[in-house]
Amino acid sequence: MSQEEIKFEVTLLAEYWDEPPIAKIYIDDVCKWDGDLSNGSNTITFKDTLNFTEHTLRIERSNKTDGQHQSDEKTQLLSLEKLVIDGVNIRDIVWTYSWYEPEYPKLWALMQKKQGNVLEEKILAETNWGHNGNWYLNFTSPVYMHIINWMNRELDAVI
Amino acid sequence: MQLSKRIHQVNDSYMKELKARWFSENHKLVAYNEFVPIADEWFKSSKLNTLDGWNEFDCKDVIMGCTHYIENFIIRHGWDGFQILPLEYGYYGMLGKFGNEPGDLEENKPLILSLPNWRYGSIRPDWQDVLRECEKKNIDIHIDFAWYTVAKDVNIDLSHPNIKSFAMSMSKYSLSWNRIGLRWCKQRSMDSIAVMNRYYTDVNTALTSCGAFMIENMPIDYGWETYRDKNHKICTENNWTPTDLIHVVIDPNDGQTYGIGDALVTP
Repeated sequence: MSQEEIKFEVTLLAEYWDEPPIAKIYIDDVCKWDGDLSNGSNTITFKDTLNFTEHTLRIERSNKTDGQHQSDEKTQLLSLEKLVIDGVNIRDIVWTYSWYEPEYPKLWALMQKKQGNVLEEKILAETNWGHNGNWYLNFTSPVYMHIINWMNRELDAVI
Repeated sequence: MQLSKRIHQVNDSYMKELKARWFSENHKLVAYNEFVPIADEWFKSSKLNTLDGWNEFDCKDVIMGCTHYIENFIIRHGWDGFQILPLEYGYYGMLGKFGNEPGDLEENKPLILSLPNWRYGSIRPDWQDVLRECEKKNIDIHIDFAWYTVAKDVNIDLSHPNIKSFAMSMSKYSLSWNRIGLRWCKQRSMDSIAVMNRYYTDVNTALTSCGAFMIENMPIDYGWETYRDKNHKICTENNWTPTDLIHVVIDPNDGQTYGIGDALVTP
């Protein structure tokens, strides 16, 4: 056996007052889910057949245009609430080995730079996504071995 | 001759001797990775039963008996996340889980069942119907073969796509004092058995060492090979119906199964 069928359960929390955030979920750059998010928790379930090798789970977050942020209360946010792979909630792996690459609004980023603020290109373990961008988690299949490797402290740091 | 309502295992002088030897002699240490191929070969060596498609299950793990397999299954799926059939292993009933009738199985909910089944003394008569229902309703099947070592005429095609895992144990040969067996899966998931086998790789080697010792000294078909004639004689003399389990008979007067484990070993 050199591959396995794995079920993914991705719970995203969408909060918005006008337009919803848009999310697309990819495994190794193949889109596995592309749909509408409603206000509140959205659990997205899909299965994929994985070869026994390295993989990347990526969530692309978009639709945060300038007008969507009016104030702290009147804004648009997307958060990863929970990630269950093959029946296992891998929260602690997410909190240690995932990262977010925001796409900062150009004008806003320029202002930050002028003020001397350094904007991170990669934010380790960030699961609250205010800006558009991409969230990543590398993992290997078989998934159970990935979890055991994590428990054995054998996973490489990502940043 | 008295029938026993409790189905006692066959515990003859040879098994008692093996147990005594295990506790009195020195033995070699047999680790998990050594035990797995030994046990795999032993379970596959039955000449009285035929399980096709066994080789499709290439994920093999040590278990502490089939109840461990069941408990792991329950942890994995949750108490309400699996189903059983009626007339199953009494363990479920003691914990408050009861069976769904064939024909009324819940869609997409994994099913665990024992084959052979103690109540029938053989494979369930509705096994083929259950298989078809599981196919139709997308139900994964997990088989508890706890009675396999004392059975004959168990002929099943394991390559059926809905069968995802199964387990066997040595316990039915009066080895419940050293519960040990194997689980076979088509795909290994993270669960307590995977943790025991892949993370804690050096636990319970007393169990595997003892299991290897028993395997070395006992053929898998020992029960039927040794007591076939006596089973036949007892059944004939008492007008009891034999089953596929060496130590289980059916009394035609009430249709119930009874144990003859003690009678078989009585001179």
